[in-house]
Amino acid sequence: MNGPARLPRTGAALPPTPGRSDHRRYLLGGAGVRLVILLAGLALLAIPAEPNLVWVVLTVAGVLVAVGSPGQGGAGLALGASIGSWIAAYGWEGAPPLGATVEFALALYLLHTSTALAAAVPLGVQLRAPVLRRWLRRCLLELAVAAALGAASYGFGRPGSSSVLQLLGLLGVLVLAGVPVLLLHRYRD
Amino acid sequence: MRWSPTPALGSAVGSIAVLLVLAVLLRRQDLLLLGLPLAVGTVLPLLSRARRAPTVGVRTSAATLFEGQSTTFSQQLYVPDALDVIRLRTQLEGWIELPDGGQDVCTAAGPDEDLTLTHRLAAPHWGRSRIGRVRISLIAAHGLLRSTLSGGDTVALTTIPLRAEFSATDVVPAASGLVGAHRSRRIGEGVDPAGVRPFVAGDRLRRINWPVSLRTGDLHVTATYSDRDTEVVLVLDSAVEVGSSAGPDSTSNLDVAVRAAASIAEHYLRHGDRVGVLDLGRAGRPVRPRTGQAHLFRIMDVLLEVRAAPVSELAVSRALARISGRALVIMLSPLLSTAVAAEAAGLSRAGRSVLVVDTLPDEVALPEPGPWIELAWRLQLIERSNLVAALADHGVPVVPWLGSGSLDQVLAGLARTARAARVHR
Repeated sequence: MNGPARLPRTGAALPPTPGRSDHRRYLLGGAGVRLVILLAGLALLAIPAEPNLVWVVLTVAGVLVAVGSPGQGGAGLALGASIGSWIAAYGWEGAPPLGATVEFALALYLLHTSTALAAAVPLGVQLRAPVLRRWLRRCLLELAVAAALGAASYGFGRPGSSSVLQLLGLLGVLVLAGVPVLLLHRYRD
Repeated sequence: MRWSPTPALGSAVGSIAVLLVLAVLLRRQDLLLLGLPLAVGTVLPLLSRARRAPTVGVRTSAATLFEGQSTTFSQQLYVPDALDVIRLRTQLEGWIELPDGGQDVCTAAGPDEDLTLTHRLAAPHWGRSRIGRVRISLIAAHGLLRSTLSGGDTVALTTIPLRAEFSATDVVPAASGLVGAHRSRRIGEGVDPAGVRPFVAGDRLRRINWPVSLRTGDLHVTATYSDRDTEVVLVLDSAVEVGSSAGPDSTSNLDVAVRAAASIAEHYLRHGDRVGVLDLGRAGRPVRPRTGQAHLFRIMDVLLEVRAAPVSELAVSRALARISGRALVIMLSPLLSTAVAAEAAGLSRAGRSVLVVDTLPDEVALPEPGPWIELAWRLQLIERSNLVAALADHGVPVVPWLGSGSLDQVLAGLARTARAARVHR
């Protein structure tokens, strides 16, 4: 006589891993990143002393695009419009206060980096804590380096000769714009 | 590993260039300061970008599940170089789901790091399922570079159509064979007492009923019914699928039939009986009655393949004619076809014990609701009730599938009928 038929080894009822509350928290992470974009955009609008309406409209449009669809270049529009708004607010030869300049630089950086992160993590995905921790750590490192360089540039003061300043500036532009392009080009090969 | 730039890289480089040019032209140190964080945030990450791709492995704790069960599904990642965002998208095919999320996950890892992401994988519906290869999106250089690749192997999962344990009364219409767990009508070696009779040569001493022997002065033994097995043939009517099989909360007649067949097969095989399966949609490939655990797996394999398919009347007639005369035939049908009902009646006329399990779901959503469709469906239901009545006239009971114990009364009735038929002969 054959033995009684047994059922195969199967899974079992498991406790939720992770729990539904954790899942909700993951989703909130994505929304939080977009909130940072919005706050940075508001800061860009609020910091300049006398904002120009055209630049304000362009900045708002850029920020809204960045929040709604971070991968679509809204951040580029918002950054460009904010820079225009800054120059329009203080004139071609203005001398903005250092505090406002630092705040505005921080807001520009936050808008750029949070949009880059939001483009990488669409709403609805599980955004785990290590992503935010690592991103925050890198932001702090970059800001610390930028702060040191900024302090150094203020310590040196303005170069006396305008031609030297222009030369250095253009060189800086070339280096800063060329390095990423060269790196990318080399990496593709 | 091949990286491509993100829009963030373009906007950062553009902004830095504009700020520095303006800083030079306007001799404004504040514009240089505005561009510094952006410049640092562009150059530093690009210099420290990842160069080696991560690897991913996928595994589940169990390859076979019952309906409604869950198991753990884990993704093991090895990340050689640090990555800011690792997005893992898992393709699920079939009736499996990740109820707590996990189909689209973003995480990060430092250099030379092993990561294990664990999720709960649920199987709400029977069938064969598959976890496809994982699509991995990588973000490096603080959001400035991106890359995509796929990894991991596909994992197959089987969900057995068993939910609750089915049990039926220990009555079968025609116990046959020499061994088994059912009480037969014959006197022999067994457990169930059949009476007390005088001792004859050859009786075992342990069968002597001492109280009766002392009272009567002659040796008496306790007679028992012999234990026999039976042959059960499950006939699945898969000619048509009525109802929706869109998920765990909606069932079609095929869902009911497959679940009922699995439960009944498991029950009878557990009791040492021989069980066969005949899918009318594939009448040429019946599962012949066998017993044992391996046979249960075989039956489950066949049940997992049940689909609505056109029924060839000739092939069905041939397959049904091969069923043993002493077999208990359990036909699982929505009774929407006269031909199938006629075959059931024919089997009964031929002396087989036939029982029809009605698999039509309680609620049937019509595919194209409309006055004519609803009227046609009502006519179909009237014809169906006529079929049920006609089958009852032929001595074929029709019972709805209600899970455990739903066949007890009918099986007892069939057993009585089979015994009565033997007396008349």
